[in-house]
Amino acid sequence: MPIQRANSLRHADQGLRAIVTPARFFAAVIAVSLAVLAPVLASAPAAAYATTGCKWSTGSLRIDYRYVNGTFRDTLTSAKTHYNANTDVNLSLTDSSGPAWTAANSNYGATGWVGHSSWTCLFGNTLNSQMQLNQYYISNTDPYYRIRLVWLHEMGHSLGLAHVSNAYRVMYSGGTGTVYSNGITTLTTDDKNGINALY
Amino acid sequence: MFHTFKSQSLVIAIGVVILATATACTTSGDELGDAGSSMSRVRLYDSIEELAADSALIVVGTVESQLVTADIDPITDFTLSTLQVMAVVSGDRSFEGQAVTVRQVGFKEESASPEILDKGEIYLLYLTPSGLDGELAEQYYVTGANAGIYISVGNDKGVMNDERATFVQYSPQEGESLPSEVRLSEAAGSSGER
Repeated sequence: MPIQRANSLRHADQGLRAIVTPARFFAAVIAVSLAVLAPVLASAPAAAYATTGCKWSTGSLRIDYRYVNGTFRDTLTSAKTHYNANTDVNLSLTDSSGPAWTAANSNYGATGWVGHSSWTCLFGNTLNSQMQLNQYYISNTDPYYRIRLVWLHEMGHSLGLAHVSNAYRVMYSGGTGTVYSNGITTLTTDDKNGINALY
Repeated sequence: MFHTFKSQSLVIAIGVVILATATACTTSGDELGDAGSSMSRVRLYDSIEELAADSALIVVGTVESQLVTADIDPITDFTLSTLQVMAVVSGDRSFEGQAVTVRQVGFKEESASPEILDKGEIYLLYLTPSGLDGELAEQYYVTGANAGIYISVGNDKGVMNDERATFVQYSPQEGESLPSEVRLSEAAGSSGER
């Protein structure tokens, strides 16, 4: 390569470096990254539900309800039907042992909770879940839909929904008593969207 | 040339970080938990006064032993913690030096119940009579499920009776407004007995 040609290339390279400084280059790439991501971020709906990080591997599930009785049994059956009719899960109840999801109602005393649920999972897959309604605070004489609402809430946890701060959602963190007082007795759109996002 | 290569590598790295962050944001509702539990609480407390008013017994004590039992129905486990009472903040003073049984739903090994008391630890506990029948009537629940649990952090064991001893909230609950730290002198609320 002639010396003159080599010099002109070197000058051109130096000129380019003078214009495209590292700082400008970083800024440009970040701007491009944001421009590419903006539509993605903007189109992502603001989730009005929250998840626990655990979900069953299938939406077809059986619940052992041998230890659920009276109105609690009727309302659990109704809650199950409500989930099946309004979400993509397919729940059934059985009076035999075997299912990893169990339900019970009893007088557990002054626990401070009207409903309780717990679950264990491995790498995000729910292995088992239990839910209880406490007759110390809620009885057969309470309104049918009040009892059902507690089941809907605890079933939501067992399926993988976490609490939300909106007092007009079944999964409200402040207690189902407030939700019921607010006139909510059925799964709301946010609750349904949460379940359908999981199953 | 080497300088340019370094710059490009750095830029690519920044881009990857931005993309990774954006991806995490879209799934921000998820947590990588192995277990969990949730309670639909009867009442959320706005102050230590409210919590104290709902508690028949407020004590400082150490968990000496624990037992897991399904004593109400076959599928619901409870942990029974034997608490050796070091000081009574409010309630029946005859419990001082005695043992109290504290009931909690779940058990520690399940890990779905992280709020279960730890053996050997010292706690300030707000307690409510169990409301159960028979021999279980002598037992207590923590007031407000787990709201009434404060754990001793950094206190010398010998000063548990000292009003300067401080205790830290064990299980904060969204929507509840209890202090994250309580001194023994404040534990019974403004109308405290101590």
